[in-house]
Amino acid sequence: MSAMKEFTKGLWKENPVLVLLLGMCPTLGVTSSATNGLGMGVATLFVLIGSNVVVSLLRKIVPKKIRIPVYIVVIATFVTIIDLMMQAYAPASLYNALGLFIPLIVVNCVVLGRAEAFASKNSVGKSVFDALGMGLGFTLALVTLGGTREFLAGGSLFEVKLIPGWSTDFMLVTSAPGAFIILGLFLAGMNAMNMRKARIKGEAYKAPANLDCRHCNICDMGE
Amino acid sequence: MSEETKPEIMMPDMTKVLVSPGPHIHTKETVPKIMFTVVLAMLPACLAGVWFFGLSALMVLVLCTVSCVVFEEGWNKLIKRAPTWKDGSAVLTGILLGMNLNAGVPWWVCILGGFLAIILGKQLYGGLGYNPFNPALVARVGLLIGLPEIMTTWNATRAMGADVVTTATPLGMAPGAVEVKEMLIGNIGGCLGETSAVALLIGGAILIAFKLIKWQLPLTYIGTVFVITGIAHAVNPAQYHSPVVHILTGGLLLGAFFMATDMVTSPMTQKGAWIFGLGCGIMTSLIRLWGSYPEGVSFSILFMNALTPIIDRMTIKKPFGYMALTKGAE
Amino acid sequence: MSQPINIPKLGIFLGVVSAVAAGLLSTVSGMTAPTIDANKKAAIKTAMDQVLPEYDNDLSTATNTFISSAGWPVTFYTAKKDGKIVGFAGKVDNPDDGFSGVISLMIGLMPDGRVGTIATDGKTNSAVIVTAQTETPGLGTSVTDRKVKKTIVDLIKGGEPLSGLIPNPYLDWYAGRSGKAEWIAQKEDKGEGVNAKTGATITSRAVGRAIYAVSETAQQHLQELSEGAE
Repeated sequence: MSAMKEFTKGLWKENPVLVLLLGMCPTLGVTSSATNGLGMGVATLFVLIGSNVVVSLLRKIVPKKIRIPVYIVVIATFVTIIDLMMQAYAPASLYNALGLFIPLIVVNCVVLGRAEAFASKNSVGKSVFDALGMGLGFTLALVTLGGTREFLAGGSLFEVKLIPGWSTDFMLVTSAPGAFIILGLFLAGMNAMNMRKARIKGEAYKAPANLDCRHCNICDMGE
Repeated sequence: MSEETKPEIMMPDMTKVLVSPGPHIHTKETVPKIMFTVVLAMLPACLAGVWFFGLSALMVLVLCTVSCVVFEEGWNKLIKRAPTWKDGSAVLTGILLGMNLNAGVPWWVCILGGFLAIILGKQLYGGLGYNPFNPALVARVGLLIGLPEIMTTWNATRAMGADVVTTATPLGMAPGAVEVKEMLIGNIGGCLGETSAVALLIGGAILIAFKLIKWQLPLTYIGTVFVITGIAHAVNPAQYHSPVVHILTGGLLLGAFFMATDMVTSPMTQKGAWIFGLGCGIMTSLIRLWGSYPEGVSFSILFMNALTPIIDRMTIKKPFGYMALTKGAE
Repeated sequence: MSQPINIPKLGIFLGVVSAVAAGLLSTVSGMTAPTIDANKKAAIKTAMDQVLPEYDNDLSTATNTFISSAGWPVTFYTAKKDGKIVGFAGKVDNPDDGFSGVISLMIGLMPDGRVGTIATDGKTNSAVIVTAQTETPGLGTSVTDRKVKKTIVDLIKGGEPLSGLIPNPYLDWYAGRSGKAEWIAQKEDKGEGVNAKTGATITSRAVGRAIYAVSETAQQHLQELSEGAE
């Protein structure tokens, strides 16, 4: 039961991109197409699982003072492995498109955030489900965002044109400003939906209480 | 923010909106009246555009205006707000957008532009008065980034002869390729509302005569561009256009009189207007001389729009008799 | 705060973690290195096969590198069939002129140094492909990419994939050309087709300069190219 809860929370209620607003750099940087979003999401998912497992295993023996450096080393190792693996076995076009952003998974807040906020306090099993949920939620958000941008730009999805007559690409949505605009619209849509839900229930909408800056323990050095 | 209570997102309370300190004077000016006068001032430039580019220019203007009004009313319907089209702001945005387009753009570009201007540039921020950026410019820049090919192909004017279909703006040509007389009357390539310098100056004079804009702003804007491009031209005349060309071509006059001066998005104070004009002028010159786009007016105005709240706060008038505490005074 | 900080212990812990990570990484690196290397070689080989006519020698040994007048090193591979030179493949990176970052090209040349032509599906394409670039997607990339545009219709019909080079009008403009005057990015009104895309002039120019660098360098060193690389 609780494992299921750890899994599903990342998909919607605590979606890392659309609710927690973590990992904005890859979110804005690579989501110019659905394929790129998928590649980035899966790469991050792998790193998340790896780092969550190791951090959870180490949680009782790692000294508090150096836990952040240790996490970074763990995450960086997994990222480098992914980078090499993709260079060797992924399609060259995907690796070229994501190239710059793969090493940046090291500093993706989703990964460090889950390590610090969840895996360092929970059992290995729970951490795996947390990583799966968060990773899939991240992937889902990236694919949706990338798909939306790709479709609005030229009427195609996963590089297949769905509307054959659409000949002029609208490059605004695939450019950097477009990333911000579309993400903003997504967030507005999320808020509108949550508010609507609350209104139907007859209560005032409240943002999830533990998801704002005051409750984030990333920066607190644990004294 | 207080613990556990995040208020529902609301429109700003009108009683709490900051205004510059008094005295305030009540006038008979209303939003529709202002908008009507501005439209009147834009008329010469629009007519010049239609004259030089033919009926397709008229079509672009009408289509932009209609789509802006339709999007405005559609949005009002969607979020159940009272109709606002009668205040004329959507019409004004539509005409300005049309003036910022090439006369030969396809019909759907006008509609997309109307969407970008009204929905993205204005209504998502809360409607007239809440938009930080000039809606027509948001649409123009959005289209320029989104459809660079369409937005940088200029129709030739009718006077250029029937066999020339497209042309470059003089800014994109080699220095000295176009005569000043042609630029004054508007027989050059460019957006349909920006080519005729004389018509734009007449419009600007109307706006200043009716005190709808602060004359300081266009003056500093154009002056700054004149000085900076003048220096560049003096250093290397073969590479850089003369400052006269810089002022008479591209969107500078249109931008300086009609878009930088937008009441909602430009500073309220006089001192602010000086700073705003100076900033726009510097940005425009830098983009034109060394940027990768030939034209920088829209980017520079949007950039300064973003700084407007800060400029307003910096230059707010002090009440009479108010003295800032100096370091020595305790 | 009360606990005293045991620096050596922390250091040893971090050291152990790092050592384990390093060991793991070196294993993975050793595992993947041959594949990555082979991938890179295969990518170059594919590119060369695309821009050259049929050949039967081993290109990896038949290389010459010259510095172009723009200062970029150009690597030439001499392709032969039955001992006769059938063309050269020139590999060049243009790090200076692109809109963002390096543009790498592989260009097939005729034995006389002109830009080669490849016939695909009855059309004559230039033997030019851009192997790496980071230009603006959709804008600069329309000048550089030879990419099939799949539509849903094709997917349903299941039509055959195009073989050989995918046509790109901006790159194909260079087919069979040499000589400097022609190379400047130009628009339609010259009546010669287009090699520059409106809105992507910088990318077009960068590509043109790189192609010119290869062709010019080849012509300057035609003697050495033809004699060397036995």
